[in-house]
Amino acid sequence: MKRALRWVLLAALAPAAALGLVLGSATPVFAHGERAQDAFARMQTVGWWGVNFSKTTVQQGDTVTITGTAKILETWPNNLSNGNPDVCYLTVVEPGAQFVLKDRVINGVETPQSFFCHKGGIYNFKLTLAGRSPGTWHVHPGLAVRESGTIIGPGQWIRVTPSPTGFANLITLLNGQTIDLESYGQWFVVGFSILTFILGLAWMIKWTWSKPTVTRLAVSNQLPLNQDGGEAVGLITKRDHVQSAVIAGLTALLLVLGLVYQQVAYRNTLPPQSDWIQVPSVAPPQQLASVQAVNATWDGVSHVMTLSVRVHNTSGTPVQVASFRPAYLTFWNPAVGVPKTGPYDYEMRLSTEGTVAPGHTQTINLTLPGTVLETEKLIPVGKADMAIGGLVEVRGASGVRNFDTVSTALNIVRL
Amino acid sequence: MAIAIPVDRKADELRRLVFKRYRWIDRKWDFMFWFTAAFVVAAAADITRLLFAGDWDFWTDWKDREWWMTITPFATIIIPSALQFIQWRAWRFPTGATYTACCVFVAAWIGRVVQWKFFVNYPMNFVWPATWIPAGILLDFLLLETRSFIVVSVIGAGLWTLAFWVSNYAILAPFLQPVHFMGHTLTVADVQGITYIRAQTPEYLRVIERDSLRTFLQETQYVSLAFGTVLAIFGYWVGQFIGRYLAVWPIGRFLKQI
Repeated sequence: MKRALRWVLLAALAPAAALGLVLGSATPVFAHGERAQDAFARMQTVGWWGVNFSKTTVQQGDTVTITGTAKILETWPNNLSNGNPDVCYLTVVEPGAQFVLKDRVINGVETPQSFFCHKGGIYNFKLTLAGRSPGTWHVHPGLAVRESGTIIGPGQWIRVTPSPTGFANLITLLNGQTIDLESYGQWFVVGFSILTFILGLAWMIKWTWSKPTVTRLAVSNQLPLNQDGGEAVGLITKRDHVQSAVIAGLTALLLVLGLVYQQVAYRNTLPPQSDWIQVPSVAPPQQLASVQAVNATWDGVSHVMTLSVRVHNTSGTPVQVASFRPAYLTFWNPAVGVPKTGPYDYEMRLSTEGTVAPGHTQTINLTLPGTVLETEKLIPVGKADMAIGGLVEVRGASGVRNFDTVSTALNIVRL
Repeated sequence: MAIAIPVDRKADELRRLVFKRYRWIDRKWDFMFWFTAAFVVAAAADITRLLFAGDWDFWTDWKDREWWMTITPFATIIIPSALQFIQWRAWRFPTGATYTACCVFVAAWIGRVVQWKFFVNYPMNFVWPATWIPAGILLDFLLLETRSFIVVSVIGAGLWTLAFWVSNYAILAPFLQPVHFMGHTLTVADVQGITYIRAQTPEYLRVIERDSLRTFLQETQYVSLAFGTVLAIFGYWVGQFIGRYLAVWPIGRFLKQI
């Protein structure tokens, strides 16, 4: 007996130890796999600018807004969404539901669900989030594109501090009732489910408690499949039929009561809504210049990437190359000043000051710090698509900003 | 006047076997069987469900009246059908479907609470698992009364689909109430899907009813139940195949060899 008990204890402890090992050795995950996406997928699909988080600390229930612009680049690859992105969903990438989304405005229109999008489309967005779970969370905007996936934008650490009153996610139904989505209907869900479980247990106990199990095989083996031998054999008795009918009847009664209850209590229901909308287009700013990528090189020994762009000033005033934005990074021209530094903003070197006179065309070499690109896994060496791309920001004298899409093959100088 | 049941010698022999007390095979074996099988059955049933109908079962805003009701009965009846055959064939217990439903009920609730509530913090009223237990009881009851797998496959599949819908629609109804949100009229379930952010499950991935030129006489629900029944009949026989030819038959062959 003692030996059996020892085995039972060991059997119970083994899974517990395994679970403890798994949970104990796990480390919190903060990033969202953005570096796991292929470089070409990040650089040639969606460009981001002006992404701003209104706060870095919020109390539970308080709101923080993310504003910015996402552009579906003209270089969108043919092997994603068949080269034709058509349905998008502007989402928030965060570790679990630590925030709740309160509002989503795209190009001035509230967009609760997906929206129709297209190559070259520019989407100014405003996402309003409320802090839900205390902790420090890394939050990104992301643009999900049907049949491709989610392209992640620049992120921000946001700390959610606890509120003495906790968190409530209140909404008002059409009938005027205010409900808390955190717990609405939860006890009915649990209660009704448990009722069904009790019936299931009753059925199982009825059949297995008073009857042996494994030894019945000796009898069943000798009967045709569609026979149980009836009362004469005693595998299944009349009493079994009656008791089973009672449980089945109670089950049917529960279903009828559930149906009647929902018909009476919730008469006005809707099917889930597929509310995809067409958001208005954004009027493009005055075109200041045309920008084309000439070539790009990667020197794996000195860890330098160089991108040559040809800028033709089509405006009446000088323009200046202000930044280059591959994926969610920004490389700034030091001559225009770096508005901020951080995990997404860096300086680049230019072969000139980056200024192009009206009517002139100039080829400018942008030298990018390779270590940053390597860290972000944006060097597509060894990939099937060795190309780089992104947005080149050009500024005019009047403050007008153009974001031109560029892309070119990457040539390897040294490995 | 009561009619005497003719008890021939074979029946008498079987009856003695039914009530025979075995020296070495006591109720501990029964308990061990039911307990250990529960893990395998729950895993098999849950994996089958997740494989075919995972998202419909995970989120309230996927539980629509067209696809949820068409796909899920098929996905959920396969393993109950296999177990129904095995337990009826071996012990004449009409318990296979209920047993599977109960096992998966416990496993699914543990999974949802641990993984979805505690690990990633979704409210349980958004990620509750559907219950199949009423459907399982009715399917087993039908087998008990008819002793025919053909009848159970045809009538039982319909019963399964209907019972699955009714038992879960009663739970779902509060989440289909209309609400104004972001200037649009949506359901509570839609709002749950929007506010509780699923970073890698964008809304457009939802396979739910969308308006089309196929009007279905404006009765999507009932047409879906009919389609769901047909698929469930197919699923029932997939389960029977698993029960008969992947479980019982190989064991029989093995036992004959030794």
